[in-house]
Amino acid sequence: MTAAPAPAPDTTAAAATGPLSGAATAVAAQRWSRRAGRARRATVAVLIWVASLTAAGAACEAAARLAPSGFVPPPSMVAAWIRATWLTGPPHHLYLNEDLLHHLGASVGRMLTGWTAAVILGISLGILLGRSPVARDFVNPLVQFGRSVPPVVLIPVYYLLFPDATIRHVVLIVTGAIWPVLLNTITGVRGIDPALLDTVRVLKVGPVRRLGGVLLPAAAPTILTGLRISLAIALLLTVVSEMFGATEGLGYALLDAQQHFDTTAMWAWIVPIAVLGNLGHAALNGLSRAGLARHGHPDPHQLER
Amino acid sequence: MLTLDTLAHTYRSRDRRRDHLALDGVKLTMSAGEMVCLVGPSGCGKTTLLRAVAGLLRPTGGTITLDGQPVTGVPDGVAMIAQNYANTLLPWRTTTANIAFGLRPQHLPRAERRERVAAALAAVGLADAGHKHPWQLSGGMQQRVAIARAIACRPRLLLADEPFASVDAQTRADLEDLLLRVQREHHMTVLLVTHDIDEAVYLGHRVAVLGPPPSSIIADLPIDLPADRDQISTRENPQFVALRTEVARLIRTSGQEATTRNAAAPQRTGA
Repeated sequence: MTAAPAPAPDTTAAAATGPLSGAATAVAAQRWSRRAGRARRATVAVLIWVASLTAAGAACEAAARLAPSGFVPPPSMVAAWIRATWLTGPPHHLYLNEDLLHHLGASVGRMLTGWTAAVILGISLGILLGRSPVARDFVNPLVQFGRSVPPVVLIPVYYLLFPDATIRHVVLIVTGAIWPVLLNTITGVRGIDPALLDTVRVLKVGPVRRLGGVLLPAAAPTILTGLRISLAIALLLTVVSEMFGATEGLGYALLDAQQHFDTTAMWAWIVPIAVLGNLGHAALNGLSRAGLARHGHPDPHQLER
Repeated sequence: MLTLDTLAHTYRSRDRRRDHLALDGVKLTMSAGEMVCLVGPSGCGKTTLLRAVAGLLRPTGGTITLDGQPVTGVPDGVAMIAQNYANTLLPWRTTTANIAFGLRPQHLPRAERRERVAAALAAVGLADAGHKHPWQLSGGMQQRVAIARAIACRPRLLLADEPFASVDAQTRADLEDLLLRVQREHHMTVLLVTHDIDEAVYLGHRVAVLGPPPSSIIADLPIDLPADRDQISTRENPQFVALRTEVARLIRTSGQEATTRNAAAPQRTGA
């Protein structure tokens, strides 16, 4: 937000004895150079990112060729497999083939359904617990217990409880992904200055606007951090859950390839999972930064990436 | 317009013996257009009293009456300015939007709302800062936004809780004069809490002194200084000096009495 159209500082105003356009040009030039600086930094960051990935890929390629193993194909072979198998679809499917889209769609659908449910439940419950000390006292032991249970241990339990595979996957995702949202919402709501809540009450702001206009936006930066963590958990649980009793999804396809000793395909299935994780992380990171910038955080770009 | 009658408040604790009797038998009457400053030692229940008047806290004893109506919840037409003003502004809204936020519940027509926001901004000298966010402003300017938000509501009663306690001395003097001017222009009724005796005498039409807890009002002094106050000449006025000395002495003696009383009966507890 540093690029906000700040009024010219006093020195500029004092110097503007000549034609006005001179001062305006100076300000514009300053703004341009600031923008150029940011663009340069972004370019360098992307170059470093590409260089780092290329170096790692080259190292793997060299290792796989120098010490050949049936289980670890060179990355170029996996890339060739991906091109020959998946990139065969029509243009309106982004050139992706039916098989990949089918499993990808199943996984993304489950992940987003479970994550969205976890977010809605977590935020609602979090606001309730954040605002009510009594409710917090009662529920806190349960929360502490629940979040300490690794969600994957529930897979055998859910296997018995939910015969429908999709419901089972989604419930598992919700069970694991709800905790960071819940705990961060509680922290965010409790961190709001009581003086702000007093002021808002005295202004006679109604409960709906108090929730949507004060509580949620004030806690938003903290809640967004919770959303980011919970999305990573949602992806993890999607893939793991699909390895048990599923007939579709990225986790199923990955395990299926391994069980058919198709090691190249097995490695290839890791790629869409990684891309999915990175996309989700990047999207929520952007959202987090935008949120912090709105709150006047001095430098939201310093966030861990 | 505002009457506090034998107001008392006890903060209950789980251990009954640790109950804290903050206020006991507070009596205070304010008429419309009056600025009353409430001073007292720290921890004497100044903020408790203010929150009770704002309807944010239900006192355990006594009554509060505002314009003939007993205060049981947050009353209409009250505005509050807090000490930690920076935390009471919404950082994601611009200055204009922050002030307008307080007007929405009053269901005014849009044009009237806009006009009131502009007038309030002009009154605090921030006419050009409407598009900025609170974090782009200095501490003194943020407090002016908080004042503007309060006066835009045209409150019948303005409550201020140590409003200038966390700004530097020069800004503080400016804001004191700003409040005096706004109070007179809008003929506002103001109840201002402060721990600064000079500030209380400088601003108030009356100064009410709260004793140490369990607090009651131990003195209610009219301030007969000229209505036009000036940071330099008013403060060197012998009458001002005499008044501030009197208030300071009242606070000190009440504190000493409380200490000897407590020393004589160390087991003494509030309730």
